[in-house]
Amino acid sequence: MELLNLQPVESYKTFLKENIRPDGRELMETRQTVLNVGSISTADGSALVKLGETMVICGVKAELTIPSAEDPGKGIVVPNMEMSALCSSHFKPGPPSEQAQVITKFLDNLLKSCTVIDTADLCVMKDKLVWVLYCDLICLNYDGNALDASVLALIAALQNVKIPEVTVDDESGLPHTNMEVKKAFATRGMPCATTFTVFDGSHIIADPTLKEEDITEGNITVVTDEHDNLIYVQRQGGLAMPEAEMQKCVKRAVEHGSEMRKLYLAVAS
Amino acid sequence: MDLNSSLPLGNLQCEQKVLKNTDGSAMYTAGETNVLVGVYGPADCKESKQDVKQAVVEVNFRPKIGIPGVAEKYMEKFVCKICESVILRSFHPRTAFSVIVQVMQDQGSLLSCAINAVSMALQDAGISMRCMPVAVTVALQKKEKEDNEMKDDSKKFVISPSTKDEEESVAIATFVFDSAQYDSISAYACGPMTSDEYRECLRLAKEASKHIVRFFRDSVSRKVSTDIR
Repeated sequence: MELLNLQPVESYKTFLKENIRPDGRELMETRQTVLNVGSISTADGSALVKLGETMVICGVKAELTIPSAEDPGKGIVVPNMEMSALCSSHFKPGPPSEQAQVITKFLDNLLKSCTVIDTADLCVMKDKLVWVLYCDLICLNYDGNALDASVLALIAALQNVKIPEVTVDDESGLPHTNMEVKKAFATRGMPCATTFTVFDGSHIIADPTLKEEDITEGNITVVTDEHDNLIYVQRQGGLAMPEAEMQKCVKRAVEHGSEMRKLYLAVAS
Repeated sequence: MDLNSSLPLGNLQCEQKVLKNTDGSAMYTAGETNVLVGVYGPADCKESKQDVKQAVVEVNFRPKIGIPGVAEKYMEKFVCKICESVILRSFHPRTAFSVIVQVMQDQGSLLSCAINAVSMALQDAGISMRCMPVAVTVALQKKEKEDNEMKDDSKKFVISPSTKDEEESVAIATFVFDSAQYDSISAYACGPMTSDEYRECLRLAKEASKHIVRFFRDSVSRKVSTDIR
């Protein structure tokens, strides 16, 4: 194990010769995942995800606002990822790190391209009043692959959202929220992300840890939905790779997706 | 540009060496989208950012108006990863390459236009690369069932979509290939599609990328011939 810190690349190669990783996983095996919802009672929806040692918590706060003039009949969903100095020495205190911003944008793109939330459902009164869902994600402990964990946390938290009933007074036009009656919010679809990275240009490994991220190049993230469609494919950098390898990743992502969807269903029931 | 008329890629234009003070620059136009890129490097680098084994790459993405936000950061990261994988960085340890991407006009397919512009600017700067990255954007459109004109599952693939095409499409995919083997270096696909549709997008993008490489070659030879004069 000492050798793994001193000569990470060399010792990693010896492990890969035996088709196993230092933590005992096979190359395409993901870490144990724990999903817990509703753990923040003050939020309108929340989820906590543990992916091995990586821990991400997501809280959703619903607020009423006036919609933008461009989309008068649509609500707004705002994801925000935070990777504070608390979660790893890789991050310094101060403005959000590049990685956090990239994940924020990833989640934003994902929500826009999939049908998990129909923003028209968030409309209370057209052109007057809509819900805005602030989804704040915080990485509590970082051990690689924050992306998969944050997708899981975000979707589970959105499924957990319960918003109070709003009635608008006809005479005064003022909204009245009834905190007693809260209804669950209809979400459609259960996207699930799987990340891979490439070691030494030839070995593809799934769900990398922080140490593995440091010594590998290029990451591939595939998001699948319940119909096994690809919703989002992101491949950043790394060496040129033949298409067959990519298909392997897609296949594994589909398998992993169906496992993860069992988790979504288990916490929903 | 006689080459363009036969292609569904729209108007392609590229001018290198447009900026005096940069080490390499390129103004790239694809359709109505226009991007200006300047490259410095290998240049001095702050000690805190240095890498003893290889050069570091910094990408700065400037939007047309306003200050760069999260969307620009995402583009920066994407372009940066591509540059890191193509530039032979181990030739220049402890130095930095700086790439500045300025959006001049965005009418769709911005990401692929930016990557092609960066590719040409790096080439203009004479930076040694493994290959040149070539990017193509493909949009997948699905028509409603009542539309009788389209037979094949009423699907339609649009190469280099405009903003209007992008709005009408269900999924958009940008692929980056290497100019030598046409293997994929990077990919960005957003929107629901089956893996068959994904493969079809990839195939079309690969075909289109060959035309773009030819366009690269033509514009470089044009530049070189004017240099001699």
